[in-house]
Amino acid sequence: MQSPAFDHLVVGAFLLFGVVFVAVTVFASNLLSPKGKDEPNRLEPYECGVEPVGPPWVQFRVGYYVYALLFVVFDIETVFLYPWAVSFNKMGLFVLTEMTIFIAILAAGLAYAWKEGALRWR
Amino acid sequence: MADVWRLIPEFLVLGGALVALFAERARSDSRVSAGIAAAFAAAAAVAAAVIGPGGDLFGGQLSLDHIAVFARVAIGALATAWLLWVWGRGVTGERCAEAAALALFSVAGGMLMASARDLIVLYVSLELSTIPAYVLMGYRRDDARGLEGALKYFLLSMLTSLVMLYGLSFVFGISGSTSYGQISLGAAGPLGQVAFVLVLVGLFAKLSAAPFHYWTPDAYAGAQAGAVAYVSTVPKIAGVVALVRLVGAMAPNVAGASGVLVVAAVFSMVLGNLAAFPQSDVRRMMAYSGVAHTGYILLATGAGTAGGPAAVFYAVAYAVPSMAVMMLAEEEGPALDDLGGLASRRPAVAWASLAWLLSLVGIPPVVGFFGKLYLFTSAVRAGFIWPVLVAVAMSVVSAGYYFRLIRSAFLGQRKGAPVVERRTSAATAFVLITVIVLALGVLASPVLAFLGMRF
Amino acid sequence: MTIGLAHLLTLAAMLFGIGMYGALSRKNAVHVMMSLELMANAVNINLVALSRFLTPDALTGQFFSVFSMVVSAAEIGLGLALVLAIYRRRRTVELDAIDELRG
Repeated sequence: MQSPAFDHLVVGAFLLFGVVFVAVTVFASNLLSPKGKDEPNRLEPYECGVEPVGPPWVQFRVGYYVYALLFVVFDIETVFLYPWAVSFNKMGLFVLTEMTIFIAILAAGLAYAWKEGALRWR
Repeated sequence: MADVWRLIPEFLVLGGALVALFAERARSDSRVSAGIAAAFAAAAAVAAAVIGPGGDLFGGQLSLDHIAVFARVAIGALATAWLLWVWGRGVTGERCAEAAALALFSVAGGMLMASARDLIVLYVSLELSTIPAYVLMGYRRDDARGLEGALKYFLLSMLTSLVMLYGLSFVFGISGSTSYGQISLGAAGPLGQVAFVLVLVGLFAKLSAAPFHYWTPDAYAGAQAGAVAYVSTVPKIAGVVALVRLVGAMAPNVAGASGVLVVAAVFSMVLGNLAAFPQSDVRRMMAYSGVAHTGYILLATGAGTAGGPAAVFYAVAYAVPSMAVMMLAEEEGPALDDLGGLASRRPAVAWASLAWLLSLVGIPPVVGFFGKLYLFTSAVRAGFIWPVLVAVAMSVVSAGYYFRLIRSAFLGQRKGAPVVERRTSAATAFVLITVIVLALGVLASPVLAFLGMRF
Repeated sequence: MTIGLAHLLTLAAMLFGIGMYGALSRKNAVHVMMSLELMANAVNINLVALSRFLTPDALTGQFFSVFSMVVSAAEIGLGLALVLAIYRRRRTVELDAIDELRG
């Protein structure tokens, strides 16, 4: 942190850890996993330990996309809340009003989506 | 902070959009929303006129000069006409509430853009005025063609606005500020020129100027003419104001700035007018003629600050009759022959359409003539003799295809029975537009004096 | 070696170029939009770098990038909605197949 040499040391240690970690896990799983051609689970795809259900190429339901779109829009609007919260003490009542209007417009959007049935799971 | 009340028109429009979204009681009577939205838009236009010019607001981020006042009133009035028309007619196959709300959101963006004097405000308001336009272009969910047109419009528009944003980031980097008053590209040499051109790419695409016009005919021909009536006019006025201001802030010290604008102007005029000639679809014809009209406007923009008032005035002089022609195309059908026999079926509309088309050609005594006169005057004063000669020649060419419309309306025969559904508020929109076309023709020189034109 | 303004601007220019290439060459509408996002992020890098090195006291450039992020998120949301609507009609998002409008 102080000198370039120290920085390089940190990077070196990180690299070393990475290499060792990967080597150990690969070796350990090789050691622990069941062997043999007649092992039935060998050819199954790995899905975080859960038994795979159905074909791998599934069509996601359109309902997910609508939720994702709503989520992205509302998620990104919170970007404005962080600088607002930081500067709130300096600016006072005016920014409070502004943010209230901003959130009210967003809430109206959500209310409209609700009214139109976009939130109903189909 | 005390300046907030000067933004009452924008607040009215935003509030109106929200009211319009929730106003319909049942899906069948969603036209009510458009009526309410029209009332709000009219109120915003009146408020903008009453508030009048007000100097710099919010530390120079907005500037309510005379041009901004004129543009705000014009945008509000045109949006009122469109919403009145929608109120009377409805949107084929869909509900009106969303269309009305989207139009008002776009109006809010346009009004802000007309007074923006800061790069951030410009970018946000530009996007606010165009994002609703994509939706309006693909408004019918069951119409794959319209959706395709909207998707193409969206992809190209986003690409060009990102190129513009890239340019804006360099403008900010060179000047160290996003305020128009502190922009100076001259010291940066070639980098300044690159930034200038990058910014122009975005604005040219929004205004559909050559060589970034090629999306326009496809997108317009795919969409409903009623939606095009809005998208091709109201955002364009705001776009021209933004172009005038931005060029005024950036161009003075950039070598070759006016050359770029004039070359683009000549290309747009020639290409637009020649391509409009053989078209048989009114939407395509108007798309190409819109390219040509943008060309005329760019000519005055190349003349620098002195050309600004003429450019903004002409943008309105183009937008008003062009909206009416598109509305007519929606009512009668988009093909040129669909206008046939209009004079016997709807004589009043036929005669009004004569006024609109004469204005688009630029024949006195309607507004288009004065618009072109002052446009060309300011270009000649800046020394663009040859480009103006090209523009005059191209105006003569444009008379050819506009007269094809007139001939079809007065002498042609329509194939198949027309669907005529008359409603008072739709007719009111036509009356409003025709009155503006005639009145602005009479009042051209006082209005231009108000805008700061030196005669 | 210290990372300077030139490095960041070069990075942004390369990202912008890659995004532009993708946007112009890809045939799938969703891929085009991903390329457009790449361009948007290149611009954000540009803005933040210029703000950090040229006007370190004012946060203008950083705020500009915040606004540009929000706007591009809104645009992409809309674009995906359009793609979704087309997909429901046509069962494809390949731009070459979307060719009813030509000329």
